[in-house]
Amino acid sequence: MIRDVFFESIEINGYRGRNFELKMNPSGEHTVFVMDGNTGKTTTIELIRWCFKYKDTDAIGNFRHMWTENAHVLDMMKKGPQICTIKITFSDDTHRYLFTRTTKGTYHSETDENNRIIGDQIDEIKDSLEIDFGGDVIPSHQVNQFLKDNFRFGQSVDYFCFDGERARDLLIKASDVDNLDFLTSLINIRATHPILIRYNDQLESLKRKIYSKAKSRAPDKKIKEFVDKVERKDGEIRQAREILQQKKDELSPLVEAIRLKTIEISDLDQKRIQRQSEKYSEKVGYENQIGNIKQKWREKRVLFFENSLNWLSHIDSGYLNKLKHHVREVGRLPEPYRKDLIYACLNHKPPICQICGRELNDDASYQHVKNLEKLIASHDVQTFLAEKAKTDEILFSPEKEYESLMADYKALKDTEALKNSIVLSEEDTRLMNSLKSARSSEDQLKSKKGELESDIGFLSDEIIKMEKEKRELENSLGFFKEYQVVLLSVEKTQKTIQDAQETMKEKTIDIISSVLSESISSILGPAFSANFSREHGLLLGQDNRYDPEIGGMSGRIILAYCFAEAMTLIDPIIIDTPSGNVGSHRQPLGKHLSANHNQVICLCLPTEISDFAPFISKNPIPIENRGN
Amino acid sequence: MGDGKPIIIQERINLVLNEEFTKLLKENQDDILLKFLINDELEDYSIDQLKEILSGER
Repeated sequence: MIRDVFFESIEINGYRGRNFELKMNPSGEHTVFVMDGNTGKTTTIELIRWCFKYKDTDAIGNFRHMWTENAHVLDMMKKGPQICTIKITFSDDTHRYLFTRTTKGTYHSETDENNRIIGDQIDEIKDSLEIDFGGDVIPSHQVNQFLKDNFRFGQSVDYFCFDGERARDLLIKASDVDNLDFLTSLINIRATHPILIRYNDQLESLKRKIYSKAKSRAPDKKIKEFVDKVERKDGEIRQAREILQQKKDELSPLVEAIRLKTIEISDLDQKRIQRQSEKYSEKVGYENQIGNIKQKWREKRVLFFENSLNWLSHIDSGYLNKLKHHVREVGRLPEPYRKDLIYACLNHKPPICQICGRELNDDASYQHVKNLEKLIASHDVQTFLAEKAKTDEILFSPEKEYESLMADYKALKDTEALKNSIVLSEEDTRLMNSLKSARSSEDQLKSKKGELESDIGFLSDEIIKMEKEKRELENSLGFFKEYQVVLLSVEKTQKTIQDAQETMKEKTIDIISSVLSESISSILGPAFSANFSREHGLLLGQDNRYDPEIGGMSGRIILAYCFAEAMTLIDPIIIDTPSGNVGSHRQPLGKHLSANHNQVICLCLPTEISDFAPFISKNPIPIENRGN
Repeated sequence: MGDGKPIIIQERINLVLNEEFTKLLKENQDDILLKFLINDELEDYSIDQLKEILSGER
């Protein structure tokens, strides 16, 4: 599961003007590097993340430094072309690896036409990975994937390289109960057993072999295309299942968020009732009236639309009979075409259409308008009017509806004026705004839940339909019938693996919550604990009460460090000093980190040497930037 | 104030994952494909051989 990895050294040459080598203490010892401000602590951590998250061909523009996205990687003080390298040497229990990322480019300090500094112009980024001093070399385009597959660096580098900025990011995202997609994806990464992924891949590969064999045995192109169809359908089903699972994972946190929001609204409402503020009640009353009027309009809009499609609803039998008579007797449709309009068009010098303004300057246009005068209702129209068109009474009167709307509009304006004339106290205003905001948030969450449930229902039905289609396709081809026993077994085994993965996810969440709680207690004291769940995210607790506000900044930063420990997939942890943010908890945090990892690499400010570093290593190593 | 004692986070999480993994194997011993996967044997069989084995099981 977790590879026993050990980092031996990190050498940076050129990136952001940094030039130094960090040589770790031997295996079994932690290391503290003392680096003053602006030496390159953050650069080191961000470079490692950049190297392991993005393969060389995707790396341009993805270097982040503190709050700056797309930060420069080159040395801004160097003129002309430059070459920067980072070399990371690490080992596991069998091999030694040297990862190198080389970046070539030029830094431009001039500004562009938008007055922005041009910055990095990167010509090339290339990765290499040597194993056992060049005994084996992984091709550059495979390096990132190799590290992901064998060490899961890419999936966990945000956690084994951890600093204060990342801690703050994590806390904000992990505590946002309205947006727990982030946590869901973290849980999926941490709880996935890599062996099970490999098994699933092998089963997929087996399926592809069957499809490939089917195509090779296909006597003609049509059959080959048929097999392609089956294969595509299989791919669609797999994709749909993944999306369905994602949606299901999103649903339970949402349900919980709605439940909490409902409780929040109820609490606020209770407060309002207790305050017994007459003005507040009056204002709320007016707001409800306004809400009712707007709801009435929404319903009327639907009614107008429906009735606009049925012209018969606007007229009564008297009008319809006149229409029928006119067509029968005169043989043509009555107004709205107007004789005088036609004459106005034709008699104008030059003749010009009085509706659209175009000149009727050719015989065809002129004659067309002249012919309108003689327009006869077609036989179909006459038959329809004679036989099918029936109505007894006006079902919908636009004039009456307009009057009603204008009356409602006046009522709305009057009510708004009354509402605005009431001046609430500061506390009542705050309460009202909080309630408004909470209700709006509840509506959004319920709407999102509705959409999610609808998507889940739709996807479930679609999957059943697609599976049936696939089965029918397979049954109609002799080859598939022959190998159906294998295909069915593959599906069954894949389902077993997926069920096991789901159970693992739930148990991982429980165990993470449990170890987090113990970590927090050991660092902050026995009154403190932590809770981690899909529904509530990451929370600190004190005396069994959990809230995003508990613990102050220091408590929450420590919670973030402990969470990073739980999320990482390798043992070593590379951290910068938490410094002043964790106050007097430095010592237990330092002890905790030392005890929980085989390798801690701490990039420490000189001011923290006495407060934090000794709990990790008694022999800190000073590092200076060599300059260019 | 806390005492910073070790919690061995990774080991505890891995233990749970491995326990579930073992349970998966135990509860599905009749799943031939799973058995082959665990023994890293699946790729040793051709699809015709798998067809024979799985048909024989049925």
